[in-house]
Amino acid sequence: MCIKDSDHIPLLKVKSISRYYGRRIGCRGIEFELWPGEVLGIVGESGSGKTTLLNCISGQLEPSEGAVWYASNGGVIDMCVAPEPQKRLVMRTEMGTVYQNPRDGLRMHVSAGGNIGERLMANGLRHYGQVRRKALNWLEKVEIDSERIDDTPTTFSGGMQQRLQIARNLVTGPRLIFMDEPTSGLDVSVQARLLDLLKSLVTELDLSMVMVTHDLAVTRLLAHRLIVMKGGKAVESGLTDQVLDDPQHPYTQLLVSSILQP
Amino acid sequence: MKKQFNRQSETGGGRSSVMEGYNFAYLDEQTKRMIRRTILKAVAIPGYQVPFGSREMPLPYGWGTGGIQITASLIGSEDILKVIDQGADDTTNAVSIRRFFSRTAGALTTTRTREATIIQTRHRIPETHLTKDQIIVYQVPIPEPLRFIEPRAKEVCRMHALKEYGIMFVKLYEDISRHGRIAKAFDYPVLVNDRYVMSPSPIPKFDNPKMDRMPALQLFGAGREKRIYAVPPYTKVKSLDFEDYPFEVERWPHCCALCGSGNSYLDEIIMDDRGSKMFICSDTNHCNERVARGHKGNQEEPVEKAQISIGTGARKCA
Amino acid sequence: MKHMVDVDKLNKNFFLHTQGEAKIPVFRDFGLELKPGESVALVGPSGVGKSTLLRLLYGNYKTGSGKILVSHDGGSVNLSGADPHTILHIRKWTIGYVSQFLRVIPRVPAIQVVMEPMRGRGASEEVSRDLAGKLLSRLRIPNRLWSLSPTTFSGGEQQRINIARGFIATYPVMLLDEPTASLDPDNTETVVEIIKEAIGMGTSIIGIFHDEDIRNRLASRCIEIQPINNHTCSE
Repeated sequence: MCIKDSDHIPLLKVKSISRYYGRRIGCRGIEFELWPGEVLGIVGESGSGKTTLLNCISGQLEPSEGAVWYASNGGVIDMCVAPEPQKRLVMRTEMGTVYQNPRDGLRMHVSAGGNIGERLMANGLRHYGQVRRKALNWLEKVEIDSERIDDTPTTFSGGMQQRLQIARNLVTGPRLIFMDEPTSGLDVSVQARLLDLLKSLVTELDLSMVMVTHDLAVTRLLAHRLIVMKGGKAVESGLTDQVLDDPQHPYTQLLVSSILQP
Repeated sequence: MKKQFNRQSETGGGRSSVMEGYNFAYLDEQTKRMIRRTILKAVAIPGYQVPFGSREMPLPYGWGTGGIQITASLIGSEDILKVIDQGADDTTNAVSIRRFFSRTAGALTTTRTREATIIQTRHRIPETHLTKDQIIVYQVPIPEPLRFIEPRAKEVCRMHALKEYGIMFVKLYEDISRHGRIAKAFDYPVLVNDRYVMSPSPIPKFDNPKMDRMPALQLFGAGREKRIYAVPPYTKVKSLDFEDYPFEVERWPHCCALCGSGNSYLDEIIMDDRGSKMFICSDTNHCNERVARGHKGNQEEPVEKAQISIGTGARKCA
Repeated sequence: MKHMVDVDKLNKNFFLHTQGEAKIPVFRDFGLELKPGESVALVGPSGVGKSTLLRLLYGNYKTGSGKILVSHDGGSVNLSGADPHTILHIRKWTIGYVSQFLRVIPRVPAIQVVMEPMRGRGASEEVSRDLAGKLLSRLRIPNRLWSLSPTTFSGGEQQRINIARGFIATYPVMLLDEPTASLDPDNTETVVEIIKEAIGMGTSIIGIFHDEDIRNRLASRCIEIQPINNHTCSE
């Protein structure tokens, strides 16, 4: 039996990240490691600093303190101090971000094919036929009818827009995906389809993912580990099932006991 | 030799007609110095849009205020100016600007491409090859090629700074997926010196290849947008394209009806209410010179159903 | 001989902060040793903490104090206080767990659910699908159900999916929480066979079996868990 996996070093090392908005705290002293193939859920109520944290570690917001070490293909870099060109190169080749609102993550007046192809072309692909083929391939993977390749996302349903965002991000074969409430705003049957898709893509492509959500049921199904945030701080963290089944902190207990069971 | 140039007969002709009360070439010397510094910077960074303190000109925006300011800051008493608008020397814009410089600078003007030292242009590059002793000044309405795809100015600046031009190719991709080819026919984006993506101003893409390694200095002025950029002599200018959809210029199945030219950019002229058409050179100077040399077109027979074809369709012309 | 699992001085209390800071003690100085190839049944009255113990051993519940040493990857790892990454690694390769509940993403086909542990270990789609198919057939899940989501299945069918998922990969240690509850006699028999085969291949088992007959057939010894103190072992 081969127990040794390829994951000897963490993909992401978040070192004591804090972000202040003036005197208010966005998030404070957050630390974690993310290993290849792992899905980390960040949960908490609105205003708990989840999105601030996500933006800090995904390079979209500069943290006030701390470091984010990312083991890129070209070696470990600190995302907080890396030169802009290097950071952006890593962000558009090895990372991806799926936003809660598809309008933030898609070009709404560019066709589905163009949306998927953008990162390929940004990375130097200059062959229309190949861009087109890859776009078709990814539409199929995210279960969007290939006939919609030339339609703009404005004509898509909410679930399709989210799946298009995923395709747009995954087309360059990234290793790390950030998701901000990817399933909120979708009705439950569409949510399930998206979760299923994400789960299989995570396994198939050995993706790592950091996912912000307030939906504990979603994290149970997708996340290996959880960080529970309150008032900008991590009040509890650990394996998803351990945090949900044996919550230690009063706030986590409150959160878990507040879930509605259908 | 200078005597043969047109000294603006409509204003009384010659340098003596320079208007009183204005500085040479309208702009004050400090402003011209500022613009020349901007031009130097633009030349140093080919294709990069340099901001400058664009002045109010006695012409409305859209009439070439950017180009006029560049010309004003460069023109000297020994210069000979040619101004074209859509290739023609005799349209309102061209006539007005020539008149402007002859009245404010007493400039010598010409319609002959070969004789000009400064050529200010709107929407065309002359058919005649430009030389290293000439400067061509383009009037630019919108200098930012990424504007229509990425509306955030800050993000656009970042894209230029980091050479992230994927989005430009998204535009071309969209064209091909919608029209089966890159449909952009004018203001076709180019990559200058392998570094900056640049708008060549609304010239037809037919003229794009002329920009590549052109011996003349190319300057671009956008008055309303307050930007100047440049392509120094002999600089590589590549029209963006895909490997499987290479850049191509438009070709016509016919020749100029006046001079019979088979390799110039043609304008379609509607002849009557029945829709009969004629195709003639857009570059009037080029056409006139050919006619003067004895070339003839078949102007008796207007082309009925003319179609512009893309590709290398051969023409048999005079 | 080295133990597969070695529980020493285990303490576990539940604190219910939202219910008046109630403290519920479950284990005090509990100890247990599991030798290779051994099959141990946990016995005791309902609510005494049998399932809790399995969950502690799986890292699903957090240990209060004490040690849970697991033989893993050629060494010995203390589950209590291990980082999540290590626990996931242990779950992937060393400890399997068949719970009474099936938690799956809606819409994922049953066969995919069963294949997942193999896929997680890096086995190919074909190999995993083949193994899953064999197990499902053996457990009498009709072919037409394989491509459907188990969320719509009956309790017994869900339980068998759970068992197939638990036994598709071989683990040195298996934790079984009433694997045969809600199964008919034929299927119960099959499950007992599957467990016996696993034991035959060297898997050590800690299980909860309510049915005395099944317990006698599968377990080599019983550990009686008593309310709070005085945990004793009996044959």
